[in-house]
Amino acid sequence: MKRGNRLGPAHLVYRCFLIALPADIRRSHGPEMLDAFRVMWDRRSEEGRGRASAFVARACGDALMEGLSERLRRIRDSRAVRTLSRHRRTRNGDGGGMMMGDFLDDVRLTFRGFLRARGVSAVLVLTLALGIGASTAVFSVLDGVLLRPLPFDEPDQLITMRHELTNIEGAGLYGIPGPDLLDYMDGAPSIAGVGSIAALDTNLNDDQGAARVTMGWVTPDFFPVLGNDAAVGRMLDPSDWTPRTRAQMEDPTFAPPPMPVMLSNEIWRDRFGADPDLIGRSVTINGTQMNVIGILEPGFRVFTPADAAVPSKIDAFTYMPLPMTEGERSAGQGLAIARIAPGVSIEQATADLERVTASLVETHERHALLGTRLVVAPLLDGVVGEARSFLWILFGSIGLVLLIAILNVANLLLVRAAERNQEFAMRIALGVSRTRLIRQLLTESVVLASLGTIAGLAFASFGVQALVALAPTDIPRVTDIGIDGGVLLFSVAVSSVAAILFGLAPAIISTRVDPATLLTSRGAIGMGRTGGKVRNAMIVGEVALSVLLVAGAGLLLRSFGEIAAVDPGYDPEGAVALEVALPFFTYRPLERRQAFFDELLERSRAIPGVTAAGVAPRLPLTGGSGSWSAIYGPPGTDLDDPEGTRARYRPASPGFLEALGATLIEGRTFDVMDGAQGGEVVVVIDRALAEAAFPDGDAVGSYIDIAIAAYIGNGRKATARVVGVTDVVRYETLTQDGEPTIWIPFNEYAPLEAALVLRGAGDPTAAAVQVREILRDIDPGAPVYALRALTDDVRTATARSRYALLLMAIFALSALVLAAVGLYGVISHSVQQRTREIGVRIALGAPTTEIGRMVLVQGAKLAIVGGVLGTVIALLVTPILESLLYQVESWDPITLAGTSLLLALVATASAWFPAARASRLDPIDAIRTE
Amino acid sequence: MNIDDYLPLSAPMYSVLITLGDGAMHGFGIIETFEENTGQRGALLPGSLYNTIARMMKQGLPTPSRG
Repeated sequence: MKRGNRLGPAHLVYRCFLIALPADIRRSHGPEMLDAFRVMWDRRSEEGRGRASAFVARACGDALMEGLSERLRRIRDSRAVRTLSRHRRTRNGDGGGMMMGDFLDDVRLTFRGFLRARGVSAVLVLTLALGIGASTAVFSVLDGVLLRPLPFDEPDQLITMRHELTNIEGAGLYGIPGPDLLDYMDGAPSIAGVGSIAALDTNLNDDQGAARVTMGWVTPDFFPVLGNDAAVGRMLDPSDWTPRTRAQMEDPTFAPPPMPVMLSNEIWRDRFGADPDLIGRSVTINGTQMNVIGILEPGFRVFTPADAAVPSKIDAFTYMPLPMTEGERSAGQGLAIARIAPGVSIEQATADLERVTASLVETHERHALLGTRLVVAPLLDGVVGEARSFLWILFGSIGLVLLIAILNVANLLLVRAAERNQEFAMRIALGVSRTRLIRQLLTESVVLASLGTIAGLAFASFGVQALVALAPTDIPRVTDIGIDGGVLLFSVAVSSVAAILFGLAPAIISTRVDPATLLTSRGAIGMGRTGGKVRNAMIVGEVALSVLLVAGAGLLLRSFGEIAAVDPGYDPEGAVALEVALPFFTYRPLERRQAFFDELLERSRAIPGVTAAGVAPRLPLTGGSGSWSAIYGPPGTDLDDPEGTRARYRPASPGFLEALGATLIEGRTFDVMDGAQGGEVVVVIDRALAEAAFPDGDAVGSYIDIAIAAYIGNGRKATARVVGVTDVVRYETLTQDGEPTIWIPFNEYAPLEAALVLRGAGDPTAAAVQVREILRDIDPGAPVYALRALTDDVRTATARSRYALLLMAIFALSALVLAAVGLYGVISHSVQQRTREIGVRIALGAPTTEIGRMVLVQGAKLAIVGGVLGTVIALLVTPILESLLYQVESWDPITLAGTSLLLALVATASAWFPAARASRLDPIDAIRTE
Repeated sequence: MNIDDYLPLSAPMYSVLITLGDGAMHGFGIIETFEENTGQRGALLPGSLYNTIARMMKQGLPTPSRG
């Protein structure tokens, strides 16, 4: 052998690749290969570098492929010999020790079978992957939102406590004021502790300017009750608490000492660059200096109920400035969270607490007057709220899709097993036991399910991302959603159950063959009466389940149509909105706030293109407060009478109703002179209130008694003149009429935060730039945020309906497709089985249209039985959708008729192709078929 | 010997057999002759050639000759 005098890098590389070849070939031919390589490489090098490199690449690839395929070939050959001998040894497969070997053999056989029938196998795996993937994705949402415990110590012991004022209709749930909380702590021994939190959006000022933050004010026991730890620094400690008197708070010259504050991890990171030295420094929040004592864990949430005034995500926490003995009894702000003593049930604790409520109502006149009732709920219940039923409905629906997928796979496997009848008969004749065959078929199912699970998990990881990205913002705990151990366990469990479900029936039915008849009749392909019946039943089931899902999607679609058609009472098109917040201490006096907003409005109206500009504490469909419910009536009404007629009071500046696009029915809206000091109080009312209070239609020019700013104690009472009537504006939700509304001049109240609406400003970003400039000019300490087109609010308000509709539509579509595939499979298989019979019929003169009709009727029968069954089930089941429906009954005849029609179309389409094929059969060929 | 056992012939095996029809030759000679006869350069590479030869020799198709 000639060792090359110059072994360049190319040769070294090629030599490495030769290692792929088995050692004996390398030994006998290696040197020759290298020689041949060198000669060929030399020639190519003369032609240029490019050619030489291309040759090296190809030669290396060739050596690698040859080596690998040779090694594979050898493994296969040796195994074939081994398998043959093993088969002889364990024909009946019951020799315990050989179980694992049998299993591996089965797995190998399965893969070989799959490769042989690539198309069908791909369809099977894909169907399963979609079913398992989609249900895993939905389960991970369910798990993240509903099932996972809250991240507190013993979260099951945490409850929320709120007061309901039963004597006030539609008043909602209130927080529990300090004095009442103290009584609960003393009077209920089954409670280990009670804390309360109130929240307010406020401003954080530092050298980067002003930012909007949500501040939480807690009572000393609040964090000890939750039992969580700080990430950096320490938690608030009751010894930090130095409450002030009310007189101090209301004294404008009182300079409060610095309060301790804890910051959320997000604010610490985003605003302070996760600076560990921030602890001990002071920051300005809400216009006061506060000492940072600790940083909370990343992702810390209070997990408050969706309908509580306190949001889950709070940026900074400090102590309530007032002692707990301060405050009026019965209805307070915020939310009380209590911890039940260990070993006490929630029922016992509730009974204990309700005894305290009863004594409160006895001793305090205000409680008796308002009809105070205690509402207790597990913390998790409140957090999850309405999302619970929605998520379970989703989960149920995806379960149905999965079931359809499983039925479909079972169906396809039955067909495939039927085609292998001869193989089974042969093996039984050769002495293989039926158990062994069933085991092999079940192995196939397990392998199928495993492949489906792997592919399904890939789908699921995309699905989860999509579900979260599309989710409406009001789904709680969205951040907790993800695929983790629990979710994995779920998908493995689902696929195991699925494997048994879709594997068992085909395994039992198709191995029930009598080898003698099969072999002698030259294996008429078929699966006997049982197999056919089972397949028909499966199709009927699939169709019925699809009807259920399609009906559900149809109902949501109808309901969404109704919601989209609701007139919100204002015109969101062509208007932009943004929020403005004023620092508390600078703007404590009402006059300063009035002056600020007057200037802001005047200068906003001067922005080119703006046709109307106005402010209000809050805009329609945005949640939160900014209005209050109070008594009104004709002049002389006792406004303190709790039985009086109530209305919702909403402050609105001049130009606000125009900017919002509210329809003015008669009279006028506010002008700049309204609400001026000492002037006459004027109000605008909405149609609902005009109809209720002035049934004769003489509202404009009449007088009513109102209580302005009634949210602070009793407010200022005034007799107001009605100057205009607007249409009803849907403020709270799109789908509910709120209380009748009284618009009062904004300047009577002028809150610290308000929304500015500009109509005609065109591009929202351009308008925002202008407004920011104006604000920087008036007061750089007032941040601008939440800029959006007014239409965004409407879209957000319909987000949940849209989400539910979207998901149900996807589920229903998948169900329909799967059912159609199943129906098609059954019909075309039966046509194939009946080829000879059909051929004879045609030969005997049956018209081809008759043949086509016969096949179509066969499909129609299955579809009709399934359809009727599905409709009956739908009628029983759809009422659970009620919480998602608006103005549509769960038995809506239009939806059910539409569903039947759609189903008839799909069934006809899927039976059409086999029918057409049957009617085109050539009788001679058909009769010859075996 | 059953001819069916070797069918279908793989591409390199076919090339080798066709080329060896001209008479005995050494490995690299097969590549050269094949390229000359067919005008296809690089269709037969050392790896596949020698692997094929090794396999064929095991089956007793070409016999090694001296010289």
